[in-house]
Amino acid sequence: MIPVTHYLILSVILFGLSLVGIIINRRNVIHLLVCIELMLLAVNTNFVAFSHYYGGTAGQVFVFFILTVAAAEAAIGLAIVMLLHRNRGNIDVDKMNHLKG
Amino acid sequence: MQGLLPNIVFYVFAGLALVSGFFAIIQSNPVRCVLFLVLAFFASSVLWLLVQAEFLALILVLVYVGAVMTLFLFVVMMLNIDKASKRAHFLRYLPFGLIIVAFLTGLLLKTLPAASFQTSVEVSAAVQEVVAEDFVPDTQFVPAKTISNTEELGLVLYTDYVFAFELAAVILLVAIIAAITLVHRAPIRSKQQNITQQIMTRREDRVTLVKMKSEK
Amino acid sequence: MSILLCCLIIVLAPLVGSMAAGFFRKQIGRVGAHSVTILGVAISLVLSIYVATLILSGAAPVLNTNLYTWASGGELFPFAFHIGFLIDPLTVVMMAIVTFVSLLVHIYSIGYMVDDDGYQRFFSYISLFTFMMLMLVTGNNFLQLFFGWEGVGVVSYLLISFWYHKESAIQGGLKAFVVNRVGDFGFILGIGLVLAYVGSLDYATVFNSATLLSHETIEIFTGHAWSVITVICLLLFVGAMGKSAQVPLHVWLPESMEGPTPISALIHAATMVTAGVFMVARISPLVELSTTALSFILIIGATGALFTGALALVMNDIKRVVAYSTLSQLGYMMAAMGASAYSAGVFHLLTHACFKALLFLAAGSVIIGMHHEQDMRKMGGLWKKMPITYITFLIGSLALCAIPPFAGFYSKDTIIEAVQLSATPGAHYAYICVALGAMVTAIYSFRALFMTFHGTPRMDAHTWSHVHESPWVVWLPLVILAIPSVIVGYILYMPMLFKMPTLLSSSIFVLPEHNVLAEIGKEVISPFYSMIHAVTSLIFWLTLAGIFIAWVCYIALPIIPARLASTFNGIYKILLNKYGFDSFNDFVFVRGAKALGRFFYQVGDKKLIDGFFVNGTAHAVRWFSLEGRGIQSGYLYHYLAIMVFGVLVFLCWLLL
Repeated sequence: MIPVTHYLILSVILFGLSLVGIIINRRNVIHLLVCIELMLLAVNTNFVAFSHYYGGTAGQVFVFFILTVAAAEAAIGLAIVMLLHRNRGNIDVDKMNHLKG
Repeated sequence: MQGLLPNIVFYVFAGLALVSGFFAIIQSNPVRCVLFLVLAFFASSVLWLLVQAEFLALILVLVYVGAVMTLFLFVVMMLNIDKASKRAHFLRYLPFGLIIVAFLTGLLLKTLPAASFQTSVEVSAAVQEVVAEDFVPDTQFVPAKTISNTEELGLVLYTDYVFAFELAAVILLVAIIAAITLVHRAPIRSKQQNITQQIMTRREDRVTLVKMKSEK
Repeated sequence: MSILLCCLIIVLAPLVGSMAAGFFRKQIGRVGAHSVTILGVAISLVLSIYVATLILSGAAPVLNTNLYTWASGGELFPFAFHIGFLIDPLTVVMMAIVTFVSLLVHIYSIGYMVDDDGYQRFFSYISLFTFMMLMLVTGNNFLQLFFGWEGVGVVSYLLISFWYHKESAIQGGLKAFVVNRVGDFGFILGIGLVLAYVGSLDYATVFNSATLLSHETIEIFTGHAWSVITVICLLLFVGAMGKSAQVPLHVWLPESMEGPTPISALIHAATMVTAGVFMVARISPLVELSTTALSFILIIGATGALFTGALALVMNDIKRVVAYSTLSQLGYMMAAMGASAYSAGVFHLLTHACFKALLFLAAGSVIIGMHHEQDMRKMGGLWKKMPITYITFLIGSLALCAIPPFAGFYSKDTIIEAVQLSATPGAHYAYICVALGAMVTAIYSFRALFMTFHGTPRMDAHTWSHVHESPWVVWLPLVILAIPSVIVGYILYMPMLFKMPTLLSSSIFVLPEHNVLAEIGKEVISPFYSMIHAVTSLIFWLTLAGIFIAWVCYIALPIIPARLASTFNGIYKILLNKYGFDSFNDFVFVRGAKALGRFFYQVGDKKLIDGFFVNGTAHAVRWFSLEGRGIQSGYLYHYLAIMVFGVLVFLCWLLL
């Protein structure tokens, strides 16, 4: 059928793209969160492919929980974004360098 | 499934996923960014269907796109984020990024020998044991008919992984509480009056007489 | 009472007096201070004379005991250091001299220091000095000798800088101490060498192994093998050069005149400076076996005798004249040692102690009378006003010039004859030096006498009217010292030098081929005979010529000195500059040390240690941290990029 390596390559490329997206992100925090979701998508694809290859359901159960946690994390992340906007007026990543040493 | 169709479907939707992912990170408009991400999710969902993970594919669309991405869009629109101007040095980092992608891919291809995975999805003899381990040992139930992916998941989720299931529930609870607590604002502009408190004030609490020498 | 007990009391009584006057000065006051110290020294004197009579007459045997073991080692360090006494004729002679002069100086100081604030301190110091000197001479090992050696150095420093408010006094004391230290450096090396080669510091052990030692050699630096005995003797003599002010370490003695006159008399005439002479006499068994050392001692001594005496010709401070005279006479003593005439050297030490102390104390009396004016150019015609001082000064000068029958004649002329007969290399040169020195001695001593006491008074009328004889506490010691200056030479001439066995023969070892005194002794019959015989000796006529020259220059035709000075201006300047020793020391050592110190401070300390190591480290850390700070930009995506990079590196490392 479809060789599992195809799925692997796909997920690697998606993962890499999302990494790149984070690194070249100069816009706002939403974009950052979007790239994180993309990363999680790539990983999920990997898990599902392997789950199918080995025939068990362990991979899919894992994806299940990843989805759950990703949802929770997205919710809290967005709450933080809201707070940022409330306190600073903008959510520009370039302006968030208070940890500068 | 045999034949050419799955391959074509795979390539089309894989390409769609990649393209939409690429555009998601390129876009400057945050709404479009999120929308491209949604498109990527849809494409992935189809891909997952191809590997017989129907439940997850549908959950991806229903829950993930339907709830989480919608939440993203809510926040984006509520915060009224301006379309960020295209910065000049964005292009400067793009090659660097593409190099990372290529590097990762190359690393993967290099470390996995070409014949490490069987090209067919038919399970080999070695994999039979893995499959056998996966089944719940307690259950003597051998299905007479093939069960759906949902049923499969359900069989393991509430028995083997019930602990993780409960934890996931707790995590969601915590997320709710955290999100609310973070954003909750005290009613600082409320002008509510407490009548009882107003009536029950006493003179001793409010007035103090101080003896002072008169100044010339 | 036993000799040992006597000696213990002799040594400790001055110490007790010193401690009492020092620590309890407020409780006992001025009178108490001088009483307790004089009592201590007087007890020492009486007992010293008693012990001396016992030992010198042979009634008691020589005493050599260890009182107390100060330190001893085990296997790795099999040496033992003791405190002990060696009471033999040489020791008792020294003890008698030290306590006698010390007592007289104590009595004199009652009058001299009468209006000084540090009265008790002074008496404490001079008693302490007496203790240290007695420890030096009574020791039976090199370590105790060294203890006393250092002790007298310290007290000398304390006493020279007694008037510590005066800048020149402090500098004088420091100079004395530092130059002594240079000598002590050689001294310690010598002691160390003795310890290394003999294994013990006790005199008895060392001297018994002297002949064995004479065969050993030591290689120093150049790979050339030196005889150990020569090296030891030379090093020990370096110590004597410092302490007894031989050329070139003589530079401290003139500056030591900054101290009060009593201490000049005690320390720098009679006792401390003679410690070196005593030490050389003590190590005669070692020195005799090294012709090199004898020759060195002879030449250095004779050089000092002539050249330092010549400096006294141009000095205007009365104390300086006497100081240079001391330097010259110390040269005579050392020359005697070098010529192997040890008894003559010690005899001259004895007579010199008497008449030099007398001269110093008389000079002090003059200074008191002149209200602390020391410049001889402002004196003159004092003989009428201070007769006792004048007569005692005259007696001292006659003794110094070796006019028979005064004491100096017997000892000094014996030395000159011994040097003449000596076969030690360099003896010819030494003879010329000491012979000319005799004439120079006469010139300067009578110059001092004439300038101070004769001629027209050159002071202002006010001072002239106030000049009077000093109180009895001042002139009594002068009179007491004048007596031995006259007779001690006559009395002790035969017993000490020629009548076998001589007084010191059990303490001193002389090789038969070096024994010049025995040579001289063949011709000597009695002191009276020697006195008559003196008119045939060259030295006597040289001395008379010197006195005559002094009379001409300072009484008859006073313009001659000025004419001579202008004619021989070059020599005069050299003499005034003290042969450039002080200039040389200042240029090389003082400035060199300052430059070295400045270099170490500016470059070594400031630039290198502070700047480079301490501050440099701080700067490096700061620079690194500033550079490293750049990593923390605060931007999430930078952090992420670095994380990604790290993960990639790790992956590569893991997978490839």
